[in-house]
Amino acid sequence: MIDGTDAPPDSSGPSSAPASGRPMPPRRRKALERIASIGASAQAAIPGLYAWAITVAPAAWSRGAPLFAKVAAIVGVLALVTAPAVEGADPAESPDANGSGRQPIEVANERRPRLLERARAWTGPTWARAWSVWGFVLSSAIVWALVPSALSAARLDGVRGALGMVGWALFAFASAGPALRSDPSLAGRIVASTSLKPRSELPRGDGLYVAVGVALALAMQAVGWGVAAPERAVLVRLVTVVCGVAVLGGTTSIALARHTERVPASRRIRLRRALPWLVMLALVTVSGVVVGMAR
Amino acid sequence: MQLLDVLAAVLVLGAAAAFTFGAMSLARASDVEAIYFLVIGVVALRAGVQLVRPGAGA
Repeated sequence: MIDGTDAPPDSSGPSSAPASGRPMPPRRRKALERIASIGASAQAAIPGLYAWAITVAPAAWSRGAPLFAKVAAIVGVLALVTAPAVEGADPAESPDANGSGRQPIEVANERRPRLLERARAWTGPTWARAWSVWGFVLSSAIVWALVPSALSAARLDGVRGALGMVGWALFAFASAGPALRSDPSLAGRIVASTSLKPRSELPRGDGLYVAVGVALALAMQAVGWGVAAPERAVLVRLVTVVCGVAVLGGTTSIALARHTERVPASRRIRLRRALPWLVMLALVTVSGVVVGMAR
Repeated sequence: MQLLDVLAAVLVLGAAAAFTFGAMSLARASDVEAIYFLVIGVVALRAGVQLVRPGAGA
């Protein structure tokens, strides 16, 4: 099984440090190593979850679907999500699920007819693949068998069905193929050099501005979900998205203006520059209040 | 933080509130009210950004 785990990190080589030459913190390095060791089942889980969300979940949670169908659908998701953990549970015995890197003792075990012996010879990736593929496929089949009307042409949208087929094909492809791993020759291309120095140090507090902008933009998205007319609902969504982007741009502009190295404008110039907009704001606000009171 | 920076932050927050009111008015099919609030939001946001803009140029 090619899962990236057979490439041990070389602390003395160039891959142990970033291009800047600075040693990578141990915690960060460990996290990157764990990400790099993700196997085929984790890569297959992404299209699998997509296919589940399009073809299985709508059937399991459709009107009139039994409770067992929902349970089976949840089991399918659990099979996809927990398969990477199963795969990583036994990394020392996972040379290759396709058989190319198996030890002679494992080959000898295969010749034995006993099922238990063969099951014992299975490595973590083999168990993960069996759990991911069969757990997901069987649970999905159970859901479809329990709710056959969910797949009828009258209830299944054509585009959604085609997208579901693509998702299932990607899941099958990712499950059957070996895990993608990084090119080992890339490590040789890294040239160790002196530390890269940033042009300027960013002061603290910028994240707070961006967080406030994101919170405001997200709060706007909560408006207008109960509109009945489709055209107006789309218009409301469009307006809220544009307004959210504008507010996010405004907050980031304020954050960036705090620590600019350019010549700071004096208070008088800033006020003069914003005065037309402030006057316009006052005019619009007052005119709206006057019109509202006159009604 | 100067007073103008605080004013800019207040203007941006006011713009966000105006945008929200505009979207709510749009959802209620009150188009004139929605346009009013959206214009207020645009102007307030522009004023807030202009207040904090660095540089001596206009």
